[in-house]
Amino acid sequence: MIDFLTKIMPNVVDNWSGDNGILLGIWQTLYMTFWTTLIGGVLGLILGIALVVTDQHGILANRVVYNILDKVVNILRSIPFVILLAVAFPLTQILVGTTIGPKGALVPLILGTAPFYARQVQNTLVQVDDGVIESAEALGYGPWTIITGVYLCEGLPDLIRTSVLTIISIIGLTAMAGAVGGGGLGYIAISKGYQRYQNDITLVCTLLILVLVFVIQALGDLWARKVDHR
Amino acid sequence: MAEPIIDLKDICVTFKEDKRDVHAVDHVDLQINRGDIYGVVGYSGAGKSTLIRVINLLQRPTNAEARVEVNGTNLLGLNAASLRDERRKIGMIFQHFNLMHSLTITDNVEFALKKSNLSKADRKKRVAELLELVGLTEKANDFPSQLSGGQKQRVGIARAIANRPDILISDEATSALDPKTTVAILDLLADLNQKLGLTVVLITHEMDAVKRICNRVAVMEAGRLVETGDLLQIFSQPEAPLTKDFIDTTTHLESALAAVKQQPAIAHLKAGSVLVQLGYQGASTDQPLITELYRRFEVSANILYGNLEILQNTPVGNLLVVLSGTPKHTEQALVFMKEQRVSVKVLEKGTEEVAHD
Repeated sequence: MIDFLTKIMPNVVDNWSGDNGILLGIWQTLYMTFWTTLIGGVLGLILGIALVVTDQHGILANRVVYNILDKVVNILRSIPFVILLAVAFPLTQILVGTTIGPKGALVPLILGTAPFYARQVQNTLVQVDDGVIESAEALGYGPWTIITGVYLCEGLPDLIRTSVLTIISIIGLTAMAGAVGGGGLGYIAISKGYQRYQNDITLVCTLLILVLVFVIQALGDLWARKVDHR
Repeated sequence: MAEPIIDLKDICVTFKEDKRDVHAVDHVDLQINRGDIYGVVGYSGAGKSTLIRVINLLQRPTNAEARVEVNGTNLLGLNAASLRDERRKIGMIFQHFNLMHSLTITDNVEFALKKSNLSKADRKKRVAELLELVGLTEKANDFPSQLSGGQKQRVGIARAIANRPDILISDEATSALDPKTTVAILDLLADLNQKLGLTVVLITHEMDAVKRICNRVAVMEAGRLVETGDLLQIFSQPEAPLTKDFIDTTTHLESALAAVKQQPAIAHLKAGSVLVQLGYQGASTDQPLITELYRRFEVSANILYGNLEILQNTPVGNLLVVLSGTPKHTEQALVFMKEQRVSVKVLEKGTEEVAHD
């Protein structure tokens, strides 16, 4: 078996484990994806909810807060990610103490993800029927119950779908972050596969990322369908 | 004296639309008594929805003079938390039901009990009791998408009365339903009014709905109440033109009259013949009026159209009749009927001379 693999993709077998190996790359990609999803997701969710409720028709309508949040999201979303990586360097140094490796990539990844996800959350939650929100207000519920009990509950199927979309885009960003020193499969594909003409490595890295994307997509679809009763 | 449970004074709601002020509700006073089924009728855009949303302050009046008193509490003087407590005593149902699609019927009803003091087990018991009351026990574990419109509205009702409110506000709750389901839902509301002493405020554009269950009515047009009163009074003596229009949508009297007037015999009434509209209610319907007219005055009555309704167990009738006799006798007959507490409206008086051969 090993012989066969060595024959068709010699570089992959050579670079499988050890420092800068593919195995480590997989781990680093998962690491960056996980923490960005978690932290960026929570920040984006909070930001997205804040945008929905402070909107002029929202339950806590507040023009000033809405405008500030809206501008912040727009600005962060307009910065191309590669540039954001560079721009965020000083902040990264302060927050995590390093600018390289998967840990160093987290700050720009989160900065790039949170506003993107916030918009997705906003677009999803504004579709929750105003009538249902009104019925909860008529039942004597305040903003907290309406957010947790109505918005997040009624919006869940679509939130899952947009979250999957966001995680897939995070995987894409980790590859980019990897190329400028973050590590992960993106880094390996570029530094070994592309720059050293070891095409089998590029191919395997691509396939691994595809598998990751497909698995997340499939799990997300399954979950969304399960909670969707419309 | 009946005790007012809802007392709205000088309510104005003004929206800004493209720098133009829209007076959705324009200086309205509304008093609703405990135990009433109060109907607010009007065409869409009349401001009905805006007005009833003022009752639980989902819509705040925009003028400083407004007073909103519910159950003796001045709602406008409350802070957010106390207002939420008061809202729990005012149930509300909606045209589009507004159920949560992600929850089962049981969970939708239980959602209303989130802030109640009941234990988990008691909540389950209460929900089962409510579903029983609205006749949906078998659907307890279904999702709203599996129910018909009428069933969804029953869930809406169960949810609205879960916290044992004193008042139920119905915002066009039957407008999205077919006629048969509408009747079933209206009867359920009337039943809850009887069983639980629930005061019901319903807004609708369907006079049939009002006629079926309301005891008091307000007619609304362009942000104002143009007429208010008991159902019987409104039906038998409508004053505002809009009220007449609405009543005609269920009695069809006006349309019948138009058709009647087309007939050649009516267009050329002979002298001594009159086309009259007779309105009567309750006791006066028991008398053999028409026979009496002939016996006393030799005036014959030809009934062209009639509408008889039973409103709150009282018969209310409207007839289009041609009375024929000698001119003198016809006059006497009209006077006699007025004495019998029958409202008489002369629509057409014959002038054509009787032809002599």
